[in-house]
Amino acid sequence: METITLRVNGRAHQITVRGHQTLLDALRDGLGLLSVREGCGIGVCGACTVLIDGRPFSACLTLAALAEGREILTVEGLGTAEHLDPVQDAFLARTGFQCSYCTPGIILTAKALLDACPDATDEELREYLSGNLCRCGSYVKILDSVRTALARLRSH
Amino acid sequence: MVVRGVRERDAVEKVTGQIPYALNVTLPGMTYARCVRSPYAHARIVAVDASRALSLPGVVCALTRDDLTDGRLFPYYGAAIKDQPIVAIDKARHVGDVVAAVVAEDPETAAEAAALVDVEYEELPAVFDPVEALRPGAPLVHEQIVGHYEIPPNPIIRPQNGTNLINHMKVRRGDVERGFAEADFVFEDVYYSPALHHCALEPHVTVARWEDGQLTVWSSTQNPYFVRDQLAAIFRVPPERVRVLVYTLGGGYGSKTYARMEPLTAVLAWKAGRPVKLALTRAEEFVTTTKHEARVRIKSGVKRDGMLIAREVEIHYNAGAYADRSGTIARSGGIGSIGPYRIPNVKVDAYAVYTNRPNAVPFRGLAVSQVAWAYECHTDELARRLGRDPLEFRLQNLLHTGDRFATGEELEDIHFAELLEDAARAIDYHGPLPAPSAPERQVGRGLAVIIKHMGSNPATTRIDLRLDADGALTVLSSTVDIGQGARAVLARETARALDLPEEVVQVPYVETGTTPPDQGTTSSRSTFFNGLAVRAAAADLRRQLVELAARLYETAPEQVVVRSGRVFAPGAPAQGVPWGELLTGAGVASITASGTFGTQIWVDPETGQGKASHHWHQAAAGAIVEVDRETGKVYLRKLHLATHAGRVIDRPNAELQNEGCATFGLSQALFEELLFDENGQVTNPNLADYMIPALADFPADFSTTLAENPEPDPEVHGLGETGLPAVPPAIGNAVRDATGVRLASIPLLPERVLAALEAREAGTARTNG
Repeated sequence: METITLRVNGRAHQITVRGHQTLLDALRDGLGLLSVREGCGIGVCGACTVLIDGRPFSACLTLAALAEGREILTVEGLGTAEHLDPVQDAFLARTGFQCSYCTPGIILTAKALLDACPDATDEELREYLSGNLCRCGSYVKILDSVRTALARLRSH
Repeated sequence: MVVRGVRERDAVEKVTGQIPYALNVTLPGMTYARCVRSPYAHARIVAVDASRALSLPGVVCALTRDDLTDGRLFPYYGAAIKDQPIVAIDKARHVGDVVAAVVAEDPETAAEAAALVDVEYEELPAVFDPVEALRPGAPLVHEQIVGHYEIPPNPIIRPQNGTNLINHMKVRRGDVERGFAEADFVFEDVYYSPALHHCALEPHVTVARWEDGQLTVWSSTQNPYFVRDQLAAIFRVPPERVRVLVYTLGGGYGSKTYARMEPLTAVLAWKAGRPVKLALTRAEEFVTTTKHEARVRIKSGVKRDGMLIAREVEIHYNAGAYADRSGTIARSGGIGSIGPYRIPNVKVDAYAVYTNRPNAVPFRGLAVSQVAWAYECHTDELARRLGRDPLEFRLQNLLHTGDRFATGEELEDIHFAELLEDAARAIDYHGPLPAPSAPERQVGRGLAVIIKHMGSNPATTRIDLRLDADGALTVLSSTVDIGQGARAVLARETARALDLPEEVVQVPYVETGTTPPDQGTTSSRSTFFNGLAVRAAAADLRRQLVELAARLYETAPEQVVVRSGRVFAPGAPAQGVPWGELLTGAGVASITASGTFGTQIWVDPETGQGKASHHWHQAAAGAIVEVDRETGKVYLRKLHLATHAGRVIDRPNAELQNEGCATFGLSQALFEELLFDENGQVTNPNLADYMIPALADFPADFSTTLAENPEPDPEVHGLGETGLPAVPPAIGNAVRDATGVRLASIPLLPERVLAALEAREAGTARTNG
């Protein structure tokens, strides 16, 4: 067991972890960030996606100790019910979800894409977002949500 | 922003990650469970010894069969036949069958302890194929069924001792032999659908707590009341002593129906004397619920003019180790296998068969997707053999309003032809084929049209409406939100029935102590049932408001008008009295109104005659594919799905149901298959090896139709499963159109398509040579 400092959603948290503990467990069980959810456990489905220094990572494959000193973002830090991030707002407007177990991961992936590549084409969106699986099959409206966010971003 | 109404509130909680799941439940003193599972498909259990596990620090308790055999508990559960033990008692019946469980202070210790439970097995011969399992002398999965297991009265399910048969459903109409004799052509084909896994991203999660003789269970279940009653039976307590709470489910698709991990978790909490949480691992999910593998032999007699006059179908559904709903799956699939066609002479034999495979349970498109794959490929082949266009051939034989179905029932509100023509238009069926995007690719178009029952049993739903003196209106329902937006629909339908703004209606989560009984959130039934139960409850609420106002204002009930959240009565203020004020004025804290809606359906299991569905779900799909001749890969260029909705309540959520069915359907056509080795072990129990579609797999060109009836208040048709069965055969028929090759088995993997293309080339070469 060792105590590490994780910077999550703009705040530093002291947390005690075991060497093999994943960032997923540290965020979910240690910090109570319930938007971070295990799906496949092997980095395939994207349900546990968080942004580390602005880039999407599978929290289930990331060791908590190795995330020390980096900036971690979950949807709790992206926006709140009172102040939604434009990406969250676009998903809300387009109903880009069903059961929403995968939604936080998809929103964060979309956020990273839009920040890095505001000129993304439809084909690039489809490709980039294919690391996040939605078993309910909401893909039409997920794509529509991200397109909406992109269009709003461009018009500002 | 201002957040209003159930729909928006849920949506905000979803995009901020705050919507509650059973996975989030944490209780003081909570412990964690882990299952011990059989490595053998079929084995007698000689001894179970948990002593090494119990000596591990942090272990709270272990559960073995010894806890089930001393009479304190009723040790079995099951949807129709109570044949599934809480942990294995005499035998393990599939690889992954639960043989013991441990509880520890943390999940890691529980996993470590589970590996220390020593089980001695005596391996038995196993059977995996449903056809083989029915042969005399096949290994018996259950030595005795009738007289051994509790089987609640159910005239449809007829298991047979000394065999692996769970149910044999028959449909008999007309004289099929005479029909074949009178036919000008008779064609027979065999089609196959593999076992699948539901793969909800949230696993099965249950938390159980015993406190003062009361059991409280938080679970990701689609059937809260069923779970309550099964738990009450296990502990031999009245159902009121069991409370089941359900929040949002992280996907279900049938996997969270009936009782899954709730009996084990509740018994572990009982033994531990502490709250217990059990969340299955991804690998465990794959051996907990599967879809029925099915083999379908289908034979049709056609007249020279193209009229279908006879059909014989034989279906074997692989039920796995426990019966669950397989009996009704044989019934629904048996009846559904005739398809949406007018055929006067029909003979169907549908078998649900025990094997040593993991449990097969309801799966979105229940029972029908397997037979639709068969009959819609077969229909295409019939047309081609007759030299007829597949669309025209279908249109010639489709059922219409007023026709009788294979069950003998007269059909109403039938739209197959419109849906099929809509799908044909969407893929430009009569236009020239689009050019291939590469020279090695061939383009083809395919169509399919399907009929599906709603619900599999006589079913009932009750809705309570509670009006409080502060004016709050609460809908109490045990419908589960699986992502379909059930709570939003309840609020909208209630607001509509009472002429209120949607925002004032509250819908709490399911809690069997307060929300009224419901059959379950299955079978695409909830929106339809809830809508009618809400209307009945709204009528009751209006009646109570009228009585209250008549009493308060000392007037005749006929003088009272209830409108838009107010009552108008002689003696009351002219602008009307808000309902809450009426209650306050009358000194009433709250009033509760109830509404119930039920359906009665019945078919004779010997003939399939009767009424099999309150109304029929209807869908058609059209697909354009490109097939790469060199790799065998199928590219889905266009997909259209048309369903009959009757009335659309929430358009985005209704579209999402069709989009979800399209995703499931294309995945079944092209990717998904649960693989087993020769010992019955699943060899792809993870998301790297079991393929579910990503956004890039979904066609860029997708469209959908939600057909509505023009009359003012048409009957709502459920959409949760309706479209799914049409999609795989539409894709299969498009591949046939593109290549000239018919593949009888899904998924249409590149290697299979390539092998079929090569086999045809070889055959052609031989013919030519």
